[in-house]
Amino acid sequence: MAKAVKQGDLVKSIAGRDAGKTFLVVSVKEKFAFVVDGKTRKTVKPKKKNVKHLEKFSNVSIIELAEKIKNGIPVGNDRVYRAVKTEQQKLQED
Amino acid sequence: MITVKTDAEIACMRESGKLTKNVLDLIGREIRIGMTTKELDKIAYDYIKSCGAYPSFLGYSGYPASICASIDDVVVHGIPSDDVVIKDGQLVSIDVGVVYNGWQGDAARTFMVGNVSQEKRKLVKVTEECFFKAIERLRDGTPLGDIGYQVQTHAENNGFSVVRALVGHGIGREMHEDPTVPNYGKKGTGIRLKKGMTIAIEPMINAGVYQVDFMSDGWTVRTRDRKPSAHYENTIAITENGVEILTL
Repeated sequence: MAKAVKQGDLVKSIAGRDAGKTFLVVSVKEKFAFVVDGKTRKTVKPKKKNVKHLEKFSNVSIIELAEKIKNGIPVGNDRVYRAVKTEQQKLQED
Repeated sequence: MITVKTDAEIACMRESGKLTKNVLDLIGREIRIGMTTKELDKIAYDYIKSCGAYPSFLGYSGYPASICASIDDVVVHGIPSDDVVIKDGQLVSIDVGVVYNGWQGDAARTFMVGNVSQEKRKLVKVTEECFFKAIERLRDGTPLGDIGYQVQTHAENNGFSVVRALVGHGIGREMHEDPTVPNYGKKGTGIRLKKGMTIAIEPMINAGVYQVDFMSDGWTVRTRDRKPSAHYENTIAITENGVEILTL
């Protein structure tokens, strides 16, 4: 099964100055994904990353939040930050 | 993190790879005009379970079936359905994953059903050739970028395009491990492959433009210009002097 980064995925950056950090994928356009984490990359200006520099962090998808950000509906950065952190913690506990 | 497998672990992957190949061979024998893709899914599921293995796609991120059955302009991740009937002249890409004793096998083939046009035949042939071109010079120490370079060069020299939004992957105890294996790229770039790494190389070649659309079901990926696409995949292990194909 081909690997694809999709909207709503939680991903880890593996290249660039943000390597190692976890992000939420807001949208994907061909080989680029637009990602936010609510702290360093906020919802008003997602970071454009090459999908080959991202790896899927978990099988959890937060599609509702990603869809809202993509459509310009205001979502608090704290909400994104909390969502990303919560999933990160859950995974570490497992 | 990229995992390097021991010889014993690769032997386990050989087993799951063999089962994966058997499923594809079985589907190749059974596939015919008038069948639904759901019937193919049932054949695969029954066979895998009868071998004491498990279909790794089933339940993966909520995927509802044991195989991906992608027809014509569907690049990958077509969900088998009772409503999708295979017709004469279609390309049917079947992707299957098997987990046996905790080790994964992943492979895909594109089957030509009935009287298939010359263009589609060429597309399938070139897609297979892309895979074999990619592994031709692979060995311990080869840069990962060489795979993408070979696939892209061969596909584009034949007038086709390479999908960018989906990539191959490392494989082992998990279906999707590191590294990411794109079907495009520059020669001599990327990490160096090591003996014992196991990866799934999967050229997805489009007859038209390389852009694809993700459908609202969250899985199905179609070519943007709705021209046909072909898919060929094998799980391979890097050895000292070359590669071993585990699913062929």
